Parts: sequence; C-alpha cells; structure tokens
Amino acid sequence: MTGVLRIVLACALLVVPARAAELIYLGTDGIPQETNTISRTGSNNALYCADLIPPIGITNATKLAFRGGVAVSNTVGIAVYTHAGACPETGSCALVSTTFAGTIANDTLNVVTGLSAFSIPDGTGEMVRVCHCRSGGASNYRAAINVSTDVGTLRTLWNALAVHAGLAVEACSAGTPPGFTGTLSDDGSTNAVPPLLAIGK
Amino acid sequence: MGTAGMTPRWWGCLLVSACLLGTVLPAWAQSTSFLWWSPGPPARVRSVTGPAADVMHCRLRKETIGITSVTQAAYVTGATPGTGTMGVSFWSSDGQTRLGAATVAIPAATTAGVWTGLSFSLTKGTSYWLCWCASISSTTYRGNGPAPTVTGPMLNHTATRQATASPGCSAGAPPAGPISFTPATTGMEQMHVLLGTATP
Repeated sequence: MTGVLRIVLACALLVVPARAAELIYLGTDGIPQETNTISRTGSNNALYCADLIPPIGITNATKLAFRGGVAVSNTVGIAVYTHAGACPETGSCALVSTTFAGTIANDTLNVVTGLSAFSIPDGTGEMVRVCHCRSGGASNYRAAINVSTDVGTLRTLWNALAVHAGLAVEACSAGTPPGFTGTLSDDGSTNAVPPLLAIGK
Repeated sequence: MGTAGMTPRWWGCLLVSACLLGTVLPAWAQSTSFLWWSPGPPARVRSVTGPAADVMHCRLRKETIGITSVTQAAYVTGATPGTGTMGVSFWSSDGQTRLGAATVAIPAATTAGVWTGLSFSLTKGTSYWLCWCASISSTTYRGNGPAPTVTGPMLNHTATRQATASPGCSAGAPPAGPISFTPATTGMEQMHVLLGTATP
C-alpha cells in the first residue's frame, strides 16, 4: 500500500501546476516595457474585450491595478472572464472578477483590493477574456503597447483567424460589466486592445 | 526503492497513472484555439522591410505555452507589401525536421495574409524555428522594431537564435529541408505571426 501511495503522490505532484505567480500582467507578452494611452470611443456601456492566453497564472488573486479612468460623474468597468468550455461560440464564459466600477479621474492609477478570490490558469493554453466599458463621457486607459505602435494592424492580426478582440454582444449596465460577454465582433475600433492589468494576491 | 521490488500490481498502477496523464495533459496543458508566436500580444507593431527575394529569415524561440493541432497562421502586411508570394515554415531546433510550411499571395497593404494547410503541434518547453521569406525583395509586414542590432548579437551570443537559412526559398516557397542556419544580426526584425487551430 505504501508503494501505491508513493505513486499516487508522485502523480499528484506532476499534475499540480508549478508556476503560479504572486503577480501577473494581462495584456502583454511579459513584464510590460512601455504603455500607451488609448482614448476610448464607442457607445456608452459598450463592452470591449480581448482574448489572451496567459503564459503564467495566479491562484486566489484578490487585487488588481490598472491605469485609466473616466470623466467625473460616469463609471468605468473592467472585468476578467474565463473560458470554461467554448465561450466565444456559446457566450457562456463566466465572470471571475468585476475589478472596478467607479468614478475616477482620467489616466489615474487605480488599485482595487478585496476582490473575491479568482484564479487565472497557469500557462495551460486556456483563454482569458479582459473587458472594459464606461457609462458615458470621455475615458481612456493604458495598454501595454508602444506609443508609435500601429494599433489598427495589431487588431487586424489579433482577428485574422477568428474574432478575439472586439465588441461584445452583451453590454454593461451603468458601467457595471455583465455576467458573461457573448460573442465578439470586430467593429474596427482600437477599443479592442485590452487595458494593461496587474493582478496580485 | 528500486524497481526490482515492485510487484505486478504496482507496475499496473504506474501504467494506469501514466496513461491517465498521457490522456489528460495534451488537452489540458496546451492551447486548442490560437497562440501568438511571441507568448502574448506584441508590445511593438511596426512596418518592417523584408529580406531579399527568397532569402529565408528565421528566429528560434522556446515555446512557453504550446498549442495542439495548428492548421493555419496569419501575418499582416505593411504599407507597401508589393505583389508576390509570402512563405512561412516551422522547424525543429536543429533544422532537420520541417513541421509545416505554406505560401500565400501577398495581400493588400495592412491586411492579413492567412497560411492554411498546416498540421503540427508545438510542445511547451521545446524550441522551434519560425522562418519566413518572400518571392520579391523588400516586401513589408508587421513585426518587431526597430532594427535589432543590439538584441541580435545578444540572441546569438550563446547559440544561434536569429539567422538566415540555407537553402532559401524558391519563388516564395520554403525548402523541404533540412536547413542550416547562419547567424545574422541586422535586418532581422521578426515577423508577427498568429497561429491557429481549425477552431481558433
């Protein structure tokens, strides 16, 4: 019996993810080297999303930081969704964190704490969907791209094989993101480039 | 504990465990939809001028996520792509095995060209070469920038990771291989490539 237990334990060690981090970034291919301000356009409460496949995951995250904002008296919403199953096709992706919904000045660092613990898969190839919206007024956010980057062609490549960056079927309500996104469509705007998010425990 | 002391029952448990892992891991641990050749969306997207006609530029990279059953890939042209054929190929780290190759007619400016007919997988933790070429000189595409005259020598300091390949392409079509690599440091901005499965 002892030998069997050893085998089971060995297998368990092989299966358990080994690289979950204390802090990860979403919206970049590594530690962000530079950022650019994206002026958000589009309808009020329109939900824009981008699909990412994070190389590093995190378990039980409760904090998040992003830089951006919205004109006073309006609300900005940022949310992270996971793809359990075939989310892009069925619209069944689940909201794992409404990271922010509040009134803040434009281009401000926002740190959100006390979130319900959520996890991002650790380099498993599972998609994560990062979305943002605002209830009205002018708004902006920082993305992990170079200032002179051609954002339009980045979106073109992102959507070259299937739409993974664009406008969601579901919308926000007074700046609060919905429980799921539905499918995405490429509306040709740069809003599809996701905000840079730092997620921590 | 040595294997000599293991009873058939233990070997059975080991076999079942291995089978379970072999069944679960490939689907669990790799992308089944799409994957950036760089591990995430690139921070820099610049119009890059490609190599001379049929010169194949290559970049070696260790895969950090993995993807199962790639069938297609895409790139985006620059402002003056010209008219011709663009080729892409994927190789084992020693250049001996071509995993896949395809050509596509160079599309209009700032639009996506999609290579189809690919059939391979990339394993997490394994290094692969991405190579690209064109039937015409100086086509433009979206890639990294500026010219990596500093990063090139760093990449090639301990091993060849940025190189031209021989033999080159023919009318934009990649060679069957095997290929060999010559380190290169200038004019080697990597093309941005997105990989996809049949259901990306």
